[in-house]
Amino acid sequence: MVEYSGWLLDLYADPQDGLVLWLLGDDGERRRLRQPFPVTFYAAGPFPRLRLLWHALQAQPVAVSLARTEHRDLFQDEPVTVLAVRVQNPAQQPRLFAQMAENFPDLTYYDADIPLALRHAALHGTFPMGRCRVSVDEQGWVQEMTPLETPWELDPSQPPLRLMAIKPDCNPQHAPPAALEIQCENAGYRLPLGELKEAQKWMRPLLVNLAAILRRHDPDLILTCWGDTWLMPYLLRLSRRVTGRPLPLNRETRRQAAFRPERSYFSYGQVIHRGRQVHLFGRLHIDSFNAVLFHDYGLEGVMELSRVTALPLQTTARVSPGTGISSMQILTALRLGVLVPWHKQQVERPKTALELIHADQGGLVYQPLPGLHRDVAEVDFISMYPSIMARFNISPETVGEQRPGAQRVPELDLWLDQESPGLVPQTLTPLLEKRVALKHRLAELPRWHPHRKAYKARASAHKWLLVTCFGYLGYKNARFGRIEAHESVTAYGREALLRAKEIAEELGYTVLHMYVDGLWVYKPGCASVSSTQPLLDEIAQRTGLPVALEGIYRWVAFLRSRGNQRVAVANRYFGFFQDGTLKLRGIEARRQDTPAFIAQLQLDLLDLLGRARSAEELPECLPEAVRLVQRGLNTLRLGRVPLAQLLVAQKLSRQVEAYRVPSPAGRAAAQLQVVGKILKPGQHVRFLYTLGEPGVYAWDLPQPPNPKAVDLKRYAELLMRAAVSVLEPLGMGEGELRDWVSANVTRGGLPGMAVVSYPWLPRLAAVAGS
Amino acid sequence: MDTSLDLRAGRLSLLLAPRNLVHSMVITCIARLALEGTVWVLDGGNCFAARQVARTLRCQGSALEDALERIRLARAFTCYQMVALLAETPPSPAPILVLELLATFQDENVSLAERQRLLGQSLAYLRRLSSRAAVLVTASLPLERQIGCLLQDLEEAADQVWRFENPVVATAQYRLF
Amino acid sequence: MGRTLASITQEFFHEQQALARFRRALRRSDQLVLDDLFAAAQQHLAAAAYAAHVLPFEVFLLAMLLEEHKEVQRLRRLVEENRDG
Repeated sequence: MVEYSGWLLDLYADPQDGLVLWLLGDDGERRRLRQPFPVTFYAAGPFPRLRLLWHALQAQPVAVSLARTEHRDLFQDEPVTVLAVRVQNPAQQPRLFAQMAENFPDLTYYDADIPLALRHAALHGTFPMGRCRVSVDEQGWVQEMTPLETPWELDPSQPPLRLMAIKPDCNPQHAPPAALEIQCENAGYRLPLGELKEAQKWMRPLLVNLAAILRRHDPDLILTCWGDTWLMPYLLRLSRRVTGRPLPLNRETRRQAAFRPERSYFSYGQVIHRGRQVHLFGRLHIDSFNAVLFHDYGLEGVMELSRVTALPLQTTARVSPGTGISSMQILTALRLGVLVPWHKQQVERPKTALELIHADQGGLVYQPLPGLHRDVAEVDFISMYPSIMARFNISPETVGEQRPGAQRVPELDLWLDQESPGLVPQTLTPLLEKRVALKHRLAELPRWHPHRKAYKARASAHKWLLVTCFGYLGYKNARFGRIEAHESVTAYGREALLRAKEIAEELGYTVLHMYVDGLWVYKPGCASVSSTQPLLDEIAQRTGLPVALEGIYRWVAFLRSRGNQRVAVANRYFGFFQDGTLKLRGIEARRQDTPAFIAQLQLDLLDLLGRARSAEELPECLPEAVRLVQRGLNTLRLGRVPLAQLLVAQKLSRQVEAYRVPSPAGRAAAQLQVVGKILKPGQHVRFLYTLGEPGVYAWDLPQPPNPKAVDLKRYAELLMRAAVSVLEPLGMGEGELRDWVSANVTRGGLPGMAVVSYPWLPRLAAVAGS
Repeated sequence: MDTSLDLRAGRLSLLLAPRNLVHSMVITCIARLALEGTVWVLDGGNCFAARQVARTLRCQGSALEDALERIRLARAFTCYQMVALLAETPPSPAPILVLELLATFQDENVSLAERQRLLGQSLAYLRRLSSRAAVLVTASLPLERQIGCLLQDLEEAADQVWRFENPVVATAQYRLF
Repeated sequence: MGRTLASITQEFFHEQQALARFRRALRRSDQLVLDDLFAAAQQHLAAAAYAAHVLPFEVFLLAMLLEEHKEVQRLRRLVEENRDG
């Protein structure tokens, strides 16, 4: 028996060896190990049917052992009698289950479609990217596994992964790439790609070189650009065509790379598109353009997700946070011996129409007092909904009727069991604790500290998991979801926010704005961080939930609604904190479909305003701001803005054919369709606004766009609108800005003084178009 | 247009009509029933507009909250939940409205064969419920083409089918003078 | 997922629409005043939502009255200041 310690890189089912593990040893060796790992699923139902199932299972060829046992179903008080089906080879379980489910669809199944990695983590406590020790016998079979760390370390161990980056030299959607650029350790390579008709010249040498590079560096992780959607499928297809053999992208030579098809689906009223996926065996592949939230938390975030969810790295990179939180719940259930249902069948307990009117609410969303405000403190509940779930023990199985020891949910006729910890709170608590600990650690670290980036990435990964877990509680397909639990959470949320408001008002603050889990408050003479401490303490004490000061704004502007000047929009604001950082929500620079040139101008304007050290100094910035806008308009008018900076990126909300009256995105997608570039719902289309019909020109068309055809007037309007968003709270509305821009303001006059207007100067529209 | 529906115990009725028509008829129906006694609403389309029912009730000038308390609502978001909901609804003489039964069956993640099986189970439960009470099932048209077979099963199971279409609007423009 | 009922904003616009005939028959200047009343009420939608009234129109009316009274109080203060000052 030999012992190895190192990092668990990957694990998956194998038709011959059952379970395969790859270990990155402390000695630097990458070892392929195998482990006997039988898996069990369960069936429940009427005894005659179970008896028939028993016979069917005995009669079929896959090796199984059957038993009758009792297990806990989360939604039932008494344990459930089930037929336990233990499958020797885990690779055979999915198909066997599918067959049984087809022949016996009326039975209730449990633990039937659980990812192998989760079963393994539940049994051993190990997890991908985590350190562990394995004992292996002479035939290479793992006999024992012990974790050497937990997923909750603030400073987890870092596996020394060998990274290789491969990317084409341009976006394949836009133009055919001319070369592949490869980077690994300190070496860089460039492999030229040619045209298909000259294939013989370059295909074979390319593949030979690529195979040699892979063999030489033996990377653990291949990070690509467009690897899922273009690069890998292209290379694999090429190698089959030219050499008849697959390219050795896998370390596992007996297997081919695994493909998952692309798909579009609805989530929270939005269409999401996931590209096709290419998974490797023995090696890891992540496509930075097809990885969820990669721009947000990068590789470190993905690794952290693998640690806390126990899903393999290639999976965590590509699944939404909802899948992550669902996996965590399943893992908790497995560890507690709770059966994981195959389908969610939990039914809503009937309520009266009156109860529905009370229960069917979300978080409180106020209309802020519009305009500019100074010395405003923003107080936020830390991870409000998950904290509520943990603190008040909200879980699908704890919500119900009144019983001894139960606590009543505010506003609703629902009761929460406080005796036994619920599945969801048990899942969330370690994650919440790590999040709070990490927040404190980050607050202590100086700005220049090298660990900051990694901590922030991990914190972001946690944030996304926590943000999703609330939605998951009510999600129709969530295995452990229940609408009453969802309703309880929002009820507590409303109560907590209102209590916080009452406390703030008791302490003499004016509440300027409230939004679900945050409030913006002001009190004359209370503009320092330390002065808000009594407020924070009181709120934490009287709500039982953790709160933090997001910061104190030197000034913050709540933007008015375009439709109703009296009212401000709840989620459009910007402001500078005392430490100089900018926070903005909802305005053009934050929107995905704003062209880069205009977003940059808005950020430049904000930057200008940020130089004011107090609200009083703001009006002095106005003349310079107007000059900035003028310069922007001039650059635009003179055609000096690079076309790439005028691109609008919009999501396609449906198939091109499904548009009755096509949106600009729809029209651009139709143009691409004509040249064979098909876009799916949820994908983004990039285009320019052009003169005349159809009014758009798709960026990825083979013919570059004609700069003279660009609809400069439209861009000028967008620019003006972006400028007005920023300047309106300072007193300069749309009309005034137009006047000032078309007039000559080199004399630096301030609005409010005698405004000199030049009615004989051409209006802006004409200026932009000339 | 008098769109009051004649519901009777012992009968499973089906209402097929364009969405806006179904919506307004359902609200009127629920309001009328709530004045008289308990009414069950099993909502498969996440479309129960409680406040619109309240407004309709107010026009009758009645004790609003008492009537609203007599409306028992439960929602289903997947076809599995719909089956479970129908299974768990206790048989009683109170009328039952099942809103948008087929909405949860428009789920492409579940195979059509499985959906058909589940619908069969649902219909069995509906028949059991309709033996004691008046049961009305609604489905807004047009439905997705692929579940046309499911609609057929539903129509066959119903004792009575009401089908409405939007009246055709005259295209001639009337001049005022 | 849940959220079966229309949002408070949708209910608000519904109520505004329900008075469209009344509005149409008003003189133009009166129409603008009515619009302003509704615009004023829109500032208190969050509280109207929390109130969870069966018939939200009553709460919208109260919100209009609230804003009116705020204005009255403001004007009263101005008048008194003018008188004293």
